[in-house]
Order: sequence, then structure tokens, then C-alpha cells
Amino acid sequence: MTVRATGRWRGIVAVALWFVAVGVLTDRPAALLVGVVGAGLAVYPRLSRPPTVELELEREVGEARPARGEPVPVTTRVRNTGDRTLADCRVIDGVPAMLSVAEGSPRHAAVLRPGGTAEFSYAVAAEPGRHQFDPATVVARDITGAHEVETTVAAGTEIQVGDAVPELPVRPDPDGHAGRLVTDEGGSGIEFHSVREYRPGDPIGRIDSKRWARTGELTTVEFREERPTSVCLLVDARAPAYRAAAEDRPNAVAHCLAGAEQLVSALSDTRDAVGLAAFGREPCFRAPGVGPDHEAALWRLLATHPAFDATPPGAVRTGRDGDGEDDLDGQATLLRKRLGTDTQVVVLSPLTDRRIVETIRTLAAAGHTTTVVSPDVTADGSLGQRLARRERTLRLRALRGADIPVVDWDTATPLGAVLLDERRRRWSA
Amino acid sequence: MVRVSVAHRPTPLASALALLLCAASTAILAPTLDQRVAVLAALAGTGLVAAGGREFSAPVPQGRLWTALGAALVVGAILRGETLADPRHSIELVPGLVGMALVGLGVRPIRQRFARRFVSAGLAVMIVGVSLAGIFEAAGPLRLLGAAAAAVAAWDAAEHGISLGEQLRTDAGTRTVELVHTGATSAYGAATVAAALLVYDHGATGLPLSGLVLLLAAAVTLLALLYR
Repeated sequence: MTVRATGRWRGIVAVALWFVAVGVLTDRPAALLVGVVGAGLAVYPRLSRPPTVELELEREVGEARPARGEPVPVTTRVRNTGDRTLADCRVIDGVPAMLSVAEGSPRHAAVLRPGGTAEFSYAVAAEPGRHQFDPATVVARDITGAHEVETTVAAGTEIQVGDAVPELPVRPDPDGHAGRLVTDEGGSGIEFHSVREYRPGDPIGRIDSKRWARTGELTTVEFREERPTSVCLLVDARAPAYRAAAEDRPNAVAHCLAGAEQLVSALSDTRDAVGLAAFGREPCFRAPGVGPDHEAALWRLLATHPAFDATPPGAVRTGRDGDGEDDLDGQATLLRKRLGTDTQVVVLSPLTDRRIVETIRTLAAAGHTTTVVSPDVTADGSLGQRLARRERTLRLRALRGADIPVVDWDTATPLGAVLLDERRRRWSA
Repeated sequence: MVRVSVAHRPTPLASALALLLCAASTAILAPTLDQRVAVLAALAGTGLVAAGGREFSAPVPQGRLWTALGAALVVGAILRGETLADPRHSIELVPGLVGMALVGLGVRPIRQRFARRFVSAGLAVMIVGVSLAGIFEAAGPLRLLGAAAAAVAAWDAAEHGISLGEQLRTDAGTRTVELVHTGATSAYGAATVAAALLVYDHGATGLPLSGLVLLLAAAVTLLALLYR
């Protein structure tokens, strides 16, 4: 909670002084008298104290599981649980970064008596994924407007829109380690692979009994081995990644987060171990794992970890923020130490600078099978925007040249469709 | 070309209240019929200028043509004020009209960054107008006090509208807050006017100049302390 003086009444002191001076210099008592009014108004902000903000927020989402593109009505109620009237209470609801407001306004100002409730509604356009509402920002001013208290009120609300990621960008490993679903190695699985000579120690159930009955020859049936793989989703949430195509569009980090959420929910349907990591204002890491507890932990991380904040790091000065120049290398080294050698990495990054490209190449060079999913948030309005787009294209090319597949995700299409398309084009072959 | 986002305009209700208070301040100072007609014309013109380019659900005349007409009305009213038969009537009227036009430009706003400056400049011009009327015309205390308080209330309403527009945009529901805020400031202003008049009626006029200087010193000290 921050309390600050707005200082908006400061200038009125000058008005008061002006009239006193005019009254004295021109010997007009009436003008002097206006100075009294000026002084009275200058004292006005002193008469009130900063408001005490005690609020309760309640959110009602019209449809918990809407279809894509459908407007979802959201009703927010704010109740004053304190015992003083809030004369000027401004609420800015924490609409999830990926959702755009389709109707009405998620902002409201109200006069709240003790126990009073203000209610406002708006509608958001549903985008696929699971969206957590941010805490609402509340700015309360006293009646004179001289003091301002800014705070947040949270209410855990989320909207889940049907995920559409049927296929994951998990690649068969070139060096013979496990690919996700099917390997070309024989072993225990479902699909028939080959028949080979019996070796002592083979499980009895895999002995081909019919052949043994027929010929007396001991053979072992091999099945295509399915091995679960472990995938680490790496979100690029550094300051340069907070770019958006336009001011009112979701930024790239929001897109990456939405992508990560969709991938997590798709991966949790399989036996693959999923982990989560981020480069950003704070390193974030959760080793790959399976199970509902692990999944819940991932959701919690995605919703609450400071690295995934919707506002860029520069917006809040934390002191040691800096430009994060050396941070990326440090975080990448740390990540490489923590990752198991056979963990695949899926990087979600808008590829807005060269350093992330180098980091990805280093990761790949360290032996991690790496895939990049890159939301495209470039625009082609101004010369600078076109240059940025061109640079991104070059970075994509550089990565692909280094044998790292990059999924160029046009954010207008859902990630699932992009991945399916990509699969058809490339890695199903 | 960079398009300026129009969502962060000052809220319409507070803007309208500010302009009305400006008009009230000027009308209190300028009592003759000619002056009042000029005030009304300027108010209508400023309203049109401030409404230009916005989107209202109610049928409010807007668009370039209406803005141009509004600007013409304002300029016409100021010119008319300049050419009144009695120059003292011009002194009463013209600063108020200019101040109103400046506040109007502030709440339009002509430039987002300069919105507050325009509004402050409008207040300054109106305050100068009030003191000019006090000096040259020896206007009665009630008129001066009322005009000054109304001018400050107008500035307060405009500034409040700007801050609401910045934080919540114009499509948010802000009506009650605007009304309560402006109402509170106006009521407080009226109360100070009443208090000052009460002091005045109890013979403060008989003070010698040395007493006034002492009063001034006290006031300066008080305000300097308050300013901090």
C-alpha cells in the first residue's frame, strides 16, 4: 500500500498570497478579503487525512468455461469493510493480460460508505488457455484529493477457455535417447517392433509361445519402446521481451505465458515430465515432474511468480533491476546446471534481441534438444517496427541454421493450430 | 503517423462542471445583460470545442464543423467583450472569458501532456480578472469572493476530471465521484465565502494600514508553513 500526497492544492497558496498582496498594495479591503477565501481553500486539503482502505473484492465470471472468442461477462463487486466513507475510490480490475475487454470498462470509481458496495460489469473476449485475474488496483483519494492511497485487492478468479494444443513440439532425439512417444528401439511397449533370439533374462511374458510350440525355438518379441521424456518449458520474461504489436495489445510475455499454460495442460495429459523455468527479473525454476501435485505447483508458479508479472520490470524500480545485462548469462548457466542432461527444452520467446538467440544456441550446444516457440508481436507500421520485424526474421533464420526448430507463432491463430500445421510441415516427416 | 489515444481524456461530467463553474465565476463578476450574453455565447462555444472529437451516447453536437463553430463563438464573445461601451465592463468580462477558453482547451484536451497546464493557466487568468475587477472597479466583496471561489472550484473540477480520465479512462462509471467531489469543493468554497463575509461585516474595514501589513505578514507565515 502506498500513500502519497498529490500536491494538487499547492497552487492555491499562490492564489491566496496574490490576493493578500493585491489587497495591501492597492488598499482594497475587498481584495484582501478574497485572500481569506484563498487561504481557506489552501487549508482545505489539511482538513482531511489519507483514507483507510479496507476493501473486499468479489468477482463473478459469467461462464467458467466459455468457447473461444465468446464474450464472457465479468461482474466485480467492491465492498467497503472499513468504518469510514471512501469519497473517491477508483478500482481498476486486474483483467488477465491475454484477455481483451470486449464491452464496458474494467475500471470504475465510486463513493463507498462503510459497508457499501459498488458493482460494475464488463465483458472480456475469451482466448484459449487458463487465465488468472490479477489483483485489482485500487486508488482511493480523500474528498479533497490531496492524499492518495494505492493498493491492490485480490480475489482468485480464473477463466478457462478450451485448450487447443493437441500436439507438442517434442522432438525425437537425434542421439538415440528417448523421444516422447515412440522410439525406434525395441523394448516393452504396445506396438510390435521385432522378434529376436531369446536371451537369458528376458521376461517370460515376452517369449513367443506359439513359435516355441511350433518349432521349439525360443524367441522374444520386442515392442516399440515408449519412454516418457522430460520437457522444460522456458519462458523468456526479460525486459526486452515485454513488447507488444500495439499499445493496447497483449505483450509477448503474456503470449508466452498463455502458450506455456496451454503446453502445461496438454503435457499433463501425457506421462511426460514437465518443468518450468523463466529468464526474467528473478530466475524461476521447477524441475520436470509428474503428478497432480506437481501440476498444481506449476499452475501456482505461472500465476504468482514475480518473473511472470504482466508489467515489464522497468515499470517498477526495484533497485537492483539494472538492465539485466549479465543476469541472462548467469541465469542461463544456473539453468544448465539444474537441468538433467536428457531434458528437452521448449523455449517460449519473442526473440527480440540477439542475446536470447545466443543463449538458446548455448543450451542446444550443451546437449539439450531445444525447440523454440516464438510469438510474433512485431508490426509493420513505422520504419523502426519494420526493422524490428526484419531483425526477428534474421534471428529465426540463425536459429534454424543452427538446427534448432522454431515455431513462428502468429498470435492471431491459436497455438494448437500453429503446432499442428508445423507438424504437418516438418517434424512428422 | 502516430495516432493519439483518445481514451485518456478528462471525464465529460467533470469537464462540463468545470466549464459551468468558470461561466458562473465570470457571470458573478459581470452583471449586465450584454456581458451575460457574451458569457453564455462563450460557454456554448467552449462546450462545443471541448466536446469535439469525443464520442457520446447522448446526442451532443461534435465533429470538426461544430468545433470550428465553437471556436468562432468563443473568439466572437471575447471580441464583443473587448468592444463594450464601458471599458470597465470589458475588464470584468474579458479575463473570465479567456480563462474559460483556456480551461476548455485543457479539458478537451488539446494535448494530453498540457491538459493540466491549460487548466492552471485558465485559473490564473480568471484570478487576475477577479483582482482587476477588485482594483479598478472596486467591486463589492460578495462578487469578488464568489467569483474567486467559483474559479478555484472550476479548476478543481477540471483537474479532478483530468486525473480520473488518466486513471480510469472516460468509459468508466465515475459520475457519483465527480459529483460528490465537485459538490464538496463548491460547498467548502461557499462556506469560506460566508465566513469571510462574516469577518468583513464585523468591521474589519476600519483596520489601519499597519494592521493590514501585520495581517499580511501573518498570512504569509501561515501559508509558508502550510506549503511545506
